[in-house]
Amino acid sequence: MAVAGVHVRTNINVVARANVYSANEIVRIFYEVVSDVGLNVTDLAETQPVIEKGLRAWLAMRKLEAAYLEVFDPATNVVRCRTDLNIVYTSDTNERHRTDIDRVKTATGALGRYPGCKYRVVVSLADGAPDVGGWDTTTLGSVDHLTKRDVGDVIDTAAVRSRMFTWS
Amino acid sequence: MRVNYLLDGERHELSVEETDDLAELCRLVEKGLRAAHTELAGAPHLAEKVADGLLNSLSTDADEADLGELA
Repeated sequence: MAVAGVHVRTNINVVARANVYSANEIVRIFYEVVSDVGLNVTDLAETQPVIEKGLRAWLAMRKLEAAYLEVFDPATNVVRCRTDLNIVYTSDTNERHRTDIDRVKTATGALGRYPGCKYRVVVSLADGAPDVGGWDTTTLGSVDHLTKRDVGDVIDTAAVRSRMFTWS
Repeated sequence: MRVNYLLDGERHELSVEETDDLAELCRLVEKGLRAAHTELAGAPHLAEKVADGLLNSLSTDADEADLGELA
């Protein structure tokens, strides 16, 4: 019984670290996007605690389906570019924490520059996801006029993987 | 697993079944808290506090969780 207990504890510690790492890396990637499209990261920095709180809670409960960084023209609300991080939950005892930041930088560097635009973080959640303080219900802007690109897997852990797509 | 927490400054603890499923553990702890404290039945953002506390504790290899103040 003691061995079984240790096994369970070890696995759940691995899962917890994977979730914390993944939440941090999603935010890190969004910082790359904001910076590379020529916008000020101040707004992201100011809302980072709320964003992290939501990502951590929804990842832990396996309710986060995707996180989006949407850049839009504030005069028209037209989306100028978007970065999607789609989430896949895995179950693996091989603990690892990897982010393909070179792949991310190559993709974000190709998004273009959008001076004067604003941005926001949006998430897609599975049914039953709890409310998190500071987050409101919204709808993503249309990206029908943009071109989608598959960047590939960018976050890899024992419990969470993320594949990145860009629209520009 | 033992889960420690504060409610209006008073220390409490909850014991929940061991599991390697973090999402299930979040659900069990939230359910246990709501059952143990009627004042938490309609508490907004309790799930968020539970998840955050469990992540903070378990990511450091602690053998029990500390959720902090829940009121």
